[in-house]
Amino acid sequence: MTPERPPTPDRLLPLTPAIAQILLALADADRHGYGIMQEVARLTDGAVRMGPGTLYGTIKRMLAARLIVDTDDRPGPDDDDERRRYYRITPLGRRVLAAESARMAMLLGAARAKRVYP
Amino acid sequence: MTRLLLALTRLLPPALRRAHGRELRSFITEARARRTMSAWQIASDLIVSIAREWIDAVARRRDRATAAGDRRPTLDLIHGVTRDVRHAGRLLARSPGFTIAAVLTLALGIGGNTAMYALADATVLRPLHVAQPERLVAWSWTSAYPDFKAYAARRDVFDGVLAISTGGVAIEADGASELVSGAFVSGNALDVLGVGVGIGRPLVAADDILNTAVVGVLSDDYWRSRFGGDRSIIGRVVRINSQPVTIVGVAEPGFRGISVATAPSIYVPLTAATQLRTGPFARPAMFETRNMVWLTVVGRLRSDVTAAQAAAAMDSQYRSWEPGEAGATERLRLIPLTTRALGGDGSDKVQRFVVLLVGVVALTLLIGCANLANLLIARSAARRAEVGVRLALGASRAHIARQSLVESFLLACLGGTAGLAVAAGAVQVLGAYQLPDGIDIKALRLTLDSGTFAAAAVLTLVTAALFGVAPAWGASGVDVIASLRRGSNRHSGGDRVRAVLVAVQVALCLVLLTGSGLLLRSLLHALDVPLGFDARGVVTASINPGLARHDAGRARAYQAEALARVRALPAVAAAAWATFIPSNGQMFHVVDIDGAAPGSKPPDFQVSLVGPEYFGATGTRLLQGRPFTSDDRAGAEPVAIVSHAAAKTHWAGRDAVGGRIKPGGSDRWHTVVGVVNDVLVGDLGDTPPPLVYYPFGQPIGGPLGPLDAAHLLVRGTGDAEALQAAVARTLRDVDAGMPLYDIVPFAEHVRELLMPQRLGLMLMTFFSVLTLTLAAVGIYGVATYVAELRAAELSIRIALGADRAAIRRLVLWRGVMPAAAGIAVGLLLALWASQLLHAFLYDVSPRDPLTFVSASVGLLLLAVLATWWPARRAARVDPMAALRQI
Repeated sequence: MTPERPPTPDRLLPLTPAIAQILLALADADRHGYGIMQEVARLTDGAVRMGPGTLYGTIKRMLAARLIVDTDDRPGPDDDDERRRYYRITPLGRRVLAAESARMAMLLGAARAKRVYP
Repeated sequence: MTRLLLALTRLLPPALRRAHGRELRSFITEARARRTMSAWQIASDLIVSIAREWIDAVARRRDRATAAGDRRPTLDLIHGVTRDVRHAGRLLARSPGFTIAAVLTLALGIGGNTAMYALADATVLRPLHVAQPERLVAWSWTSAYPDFKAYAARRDVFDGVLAISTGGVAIEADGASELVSGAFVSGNALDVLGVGVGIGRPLVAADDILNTAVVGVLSDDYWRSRFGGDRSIIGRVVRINSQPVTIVGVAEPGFRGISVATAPSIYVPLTAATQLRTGPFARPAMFETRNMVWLTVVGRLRSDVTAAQAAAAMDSQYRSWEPGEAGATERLRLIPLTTRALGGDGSDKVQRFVVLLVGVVALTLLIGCANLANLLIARSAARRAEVGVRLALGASRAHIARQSLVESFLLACLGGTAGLAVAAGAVQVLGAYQLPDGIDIKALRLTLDSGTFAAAAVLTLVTAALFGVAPAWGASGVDVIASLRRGSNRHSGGDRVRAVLVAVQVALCLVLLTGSGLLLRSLLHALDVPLGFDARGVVTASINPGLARHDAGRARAYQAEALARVRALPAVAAAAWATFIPSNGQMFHVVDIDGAAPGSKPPDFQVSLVGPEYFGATGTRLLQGRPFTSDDRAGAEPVAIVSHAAAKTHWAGRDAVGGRIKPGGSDRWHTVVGVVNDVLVGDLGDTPPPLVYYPFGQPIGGPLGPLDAAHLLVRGTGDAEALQAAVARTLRDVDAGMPLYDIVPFAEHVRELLMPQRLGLMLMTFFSVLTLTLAAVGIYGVATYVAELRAAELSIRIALGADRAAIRRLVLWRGVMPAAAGIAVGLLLALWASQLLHAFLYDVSPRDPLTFVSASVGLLLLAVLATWWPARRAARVDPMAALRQI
């Protein structure tokens, strides 16, 4: 058996909105599922509320694609719950997020040049 | 709701559930608890995710399998079924009329059944929320406190014995007062029941001591609805009937008392009755006397004692106190609490009623299934050519059958989903009705939880199997060669199946029709029953001065002032206070009769204190003697009026007027001055009990004092609604602090008597109309089918000179015959099924010939009508046009 080659970031672009949001939510801290949902809600001013099905379905796919991993590090003892699993962004995840951001930045630049967006 | 959401997650693919199931569930619980997402948001996300994850899972398996060169049959099946589902979806979308009709039929059937499941679950299926309910038994009669203590001491029979007495109490908190059901319980009650607390502490024996500060335990439901689940409730002081009570705990969720009939909101110690209640039920003496019988006693049997042994032991104990009563009274029975919980002696009735309702909706679903099978066969007949082509091209018969089944399942699933909405609506509608024994369906808090969700799912699958098998069988039996020949729709037995299905439909329909006919006739009879009073144009209002701790003087002043002002209202013909509203509530009292045989046991009379205009206000006729007047007041000679039944039973052969009776516990004889006709007291059909009326101005003591509940009856001559508003305004003006409730038309009380019959009739009528329509459609379908199938043959006959009338008769006969056969079978079924109705019929035999004959004739007429049109068309066919089709 040959080990599966890690995919290059470009092959995964463009990201689905759910994957992009989750990567963004995990960019600065490890979080559990509910925490991810809250962070996404905060980043989007409450416009996006990820439901449990979407969230964990996407997390499962992201784990398989190695964009994120489970982490054993627990945060402080307060607000901890044994049932919770914390997720951490991988270097690959970071590169994919950067590539997606670059793609979006390019799109945004072009949109500004043509005065579609202020 | 959260439970429903959690149940939904089970539909996600197993791989995802294994990896993230626990997190998913805790996510949902947390999101609901903190209200960060609405239930609807979560539900819609879950439903979309279920579809997406399953497609993803199947696709991934297929990719993997294809990569590995694996061709396992299960995978083929999955692909095949996915394809079939899409195919069936397209077919259904192509005939929206059929699809909508089919989904609607299924939705009503499945939804109705789901709602009935919820009702059955809440009443007869779900065990009481107590530890080991099968070891709990209730005394068949109420007991005095010393008796309860003696029973409780029998540790050789019981592990524990509790006593309970329920009644309305006014709870005042945060400045608002509310009348709720309260339970006075012995200190050990929650312990004996094995019910714990959610927060705080339970009641304990030390709380149940006379003259200590009163503590209470709230029910979980009430804590959540009234106090929003605020945990700081523990230690707070609320006022019950104006007395301070400290809340020490909240009972565990799910515990709603030991009776389906009442769900107490608060539990307080028995001894607190002396502080919270008023009148005779507040006297410390009631904890010593054996004469006040007020407690429901419940025991937990020791594991080595049977209910029968315990009953014998308790009965002989009771007899040892009452040696004179040996053989005089019925023997004590110990009723399993699971049965008693349904509402006392009527538990059997409740059970049968629920079974009846379930039967009605189950029948409807069956009829719907027969009808759908019929329609599907017609569809597959129309698709015969298509099926023939596919078979000729190499499709397997199994595949054709599978496709037909998939179509049925798709329909059933659509129907089942829509059925959930129907069930939610049905639960709302049911909430307005009552079961026998005055059990409010609303108070049962029917919910659509994971249990009902599962019931709906099972029903959907069973339904699909029921109506899907016959068409699938038919579709796979197509004769390839014959079907490819254009237009030669030769008989293949399909019409025989359809005829049988129509017969089944008609038979079941007749069962429902006769049922609703019997109920309708009995309701009409019941409305005709001589009630002994005339409720039309009468408004009642009730007060309960004791709840507000008013003194007797204030209560009397209020009663006098209110009567005077109401009497002065325009369009008031008569008005009077009474302690009892006919048909509503009973109060029995022992009376001594002058001249009764010495040593005989004094009889129990239904008793009421009434004002001078009472008989005018209720329309009860005076048969003999005189009515009360305003001169019959305290200090005047004590008088009484008895009912016809009382006069007949206790003054047989003598003149009741002039006789003397003495209220139990009193030492003054009242002279009987009049006899009035009997009035209905309890259920319809009960024989009227002996009744005695005393003047409202001559209190007799006991639980009918000035501080107890009293009712004002006002007979108007004009608009009842205007009168109701005027009475309400007047009574509030007199004293805004008087606890005033139930200002309603008298007819409302009478209406409640017939609630179960009305509910049964409403459901039966609705479903009868539905099934009649379905039956008509079915019969029409078969006749049309026969006419078309035989168009060629009929044309030849006409061409050869056959009489068109004979042709019409032929088609008519082929359409009506299955219906006639159905009616014959249905009559037998209905005769048997109507026995179930027996308990709910009033003055109508369950084999009432009029109902059976008119339902049968009606159905037969319907069959003729439904066949008439296709028969006429067949007879008018142009022979040449039909012959060219061959």
